[in-house]
Amino acid sequence: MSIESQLREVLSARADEVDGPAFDPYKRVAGAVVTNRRRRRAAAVGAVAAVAAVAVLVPSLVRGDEHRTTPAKHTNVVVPGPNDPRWNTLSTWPTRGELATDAAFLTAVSDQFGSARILYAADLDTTRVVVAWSPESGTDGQLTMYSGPRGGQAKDLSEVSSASGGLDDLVSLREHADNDSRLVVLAAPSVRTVGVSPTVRIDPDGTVTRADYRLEPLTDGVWSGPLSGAPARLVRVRVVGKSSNPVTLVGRTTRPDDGTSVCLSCTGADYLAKAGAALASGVATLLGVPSADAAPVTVYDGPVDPAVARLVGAEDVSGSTLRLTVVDTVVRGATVRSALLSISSKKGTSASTIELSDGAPVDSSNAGQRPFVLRGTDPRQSTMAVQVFAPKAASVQLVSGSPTIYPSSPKVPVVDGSARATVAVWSTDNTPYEVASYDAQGRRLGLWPLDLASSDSWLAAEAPNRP
Amino acid sequence: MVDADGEEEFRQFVQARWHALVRTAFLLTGDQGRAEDLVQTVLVRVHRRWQHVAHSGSPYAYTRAALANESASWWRRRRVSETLGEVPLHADRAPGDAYAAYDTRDEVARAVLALPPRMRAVVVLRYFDDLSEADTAEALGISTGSVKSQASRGLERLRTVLQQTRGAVERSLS
Repeated sequence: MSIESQLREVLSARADEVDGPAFDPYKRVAGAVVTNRRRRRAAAVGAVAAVAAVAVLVPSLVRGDEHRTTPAKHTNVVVPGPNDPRWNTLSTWPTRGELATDAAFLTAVSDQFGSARILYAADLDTTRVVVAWSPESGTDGQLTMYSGPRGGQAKDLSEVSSASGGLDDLVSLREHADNDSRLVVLAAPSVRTVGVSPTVRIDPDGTVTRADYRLEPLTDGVWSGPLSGAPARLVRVRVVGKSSNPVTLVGRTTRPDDGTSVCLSCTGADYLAKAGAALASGVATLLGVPSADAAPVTVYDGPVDPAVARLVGAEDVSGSTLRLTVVDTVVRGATVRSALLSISSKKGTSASTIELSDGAPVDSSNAGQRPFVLRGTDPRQSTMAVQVFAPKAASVQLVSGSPTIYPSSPKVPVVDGSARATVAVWSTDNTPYEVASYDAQGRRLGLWPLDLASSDSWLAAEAPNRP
Repeated sequence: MVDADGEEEFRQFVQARWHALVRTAFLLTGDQGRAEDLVQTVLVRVHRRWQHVAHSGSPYAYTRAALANESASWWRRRRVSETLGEVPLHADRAPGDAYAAYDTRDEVARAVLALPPRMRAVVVLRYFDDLSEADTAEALGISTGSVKSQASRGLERLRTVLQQTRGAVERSLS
């Protein structure tokens, strides 16, 4: 047998030692996506509460009548034409911005931060901003935004935001992580117009609608203009024909820190009070509304079955205390649900959290009745384990639209606010199940989706005039 | 940001391909937990670029290439020596050892892990994922000539391990 054949045999046999996942891999990856996104935003958002939530449109924040734009400041350098090959990749983009000709400053920045290429350097309304690209192993590079006082030197700059991998040929930056802050869009000069949608609206019934796009002209591939009533995470920039959002870098917020955070060393009511406040503060921060305008309502706060917790990504749960906190934050008629799982070792030596939902709009009219569901699929057993948290129901049941293929579960009584059920699944794909909840007399209270909408899905709501 | 349709496509992709990616990552890292971490890291990046990746022809090939590339830098960050442990490259066996075949396999697998990260990636993509030299080169962003030389040197090292192992068996049987 040749060495190649032996090697194939060895590698194949070795790979067969890998167990199939005892968890839903998508849930694991989706959780990591959220964490990764939050980490990338963290430097920019600065004082955001420990747990990010989601934002609700507050119509009064959309002050379109204050909209004004200013053309991008021209540099003295001649920007290469649209067909110049340097525009093919961020790694070769020429520097733009009013400081593009300040060779001494650009050199000082490169020397200080080791940046491979500076894409943009300018003094904006209150800060000096630099965007740089650097190579990164395994990705198409890393973009970093540095910020300092307007007119400052390279040594005055510090990193405020970065994005790694998945970079596109469209980059946007917000000078501050505030509702009212300048937006700069960088594209290749072939891009003449971008659409900017400043926010979304969430109606009391949970419907999400994106605000209309305004079309803005680019000069040499750059647009710069102030946005009003545009929370950083809700802004969407689009180029005609492109399906994806640009990478967005965000400066520090000027919003004062409200001091809320999840207290992992706290217990009982103290923990709940702080966690609820932090979740509500996260919503308020992203909304750009005062924390006082975001009211947390506790849906559930209590233990979680360790077996279910493992299936949703909690590791090393044996010997740990698991506590799930589900909070609806009400902001001017709209309701956003967040959920946090904390894992504390019984010796009190370590604690961590998993953000199960970073916020999802729900219907305000029945939010109090709507259960929260944790579920995980064990593909080796072809079963889905479910824990339904429904403190206001007497029993719950998993029901499917195809009962001959996916039999409904028995009605399970709710004990101490939750109920466990297990149903068979054919694969780890979409489950056809929903949750029915019942009162003590057996009357159905409602039929609910198993999952909350992910922020990626509900923020993807589009405006009718999408470019 | 990925739209709702894209998110659903991504979900199906992850669920369909997770295990295969972990198998490849396991050969690159030698540890299932680390393999899963590596796959997760790469999929997070793929998610950010999903709209592009989904229409690139083969999201799986793209992700596997990213996996192989990421493993090199990932291992550098985590110190290869920590994961290889102190197990000798080949072990002494008693005559007629029924586990000889398994041990040989194990030692070759260890020898694969002992290869430099880039060479290991070439060997895994060529001889586990059965990529052509051209496809391996494209996946790793290196020339076909480099793939040939890395694969050749990798095989040479593994051949030495096999010879040593056989020698040990023959000595123990004589």
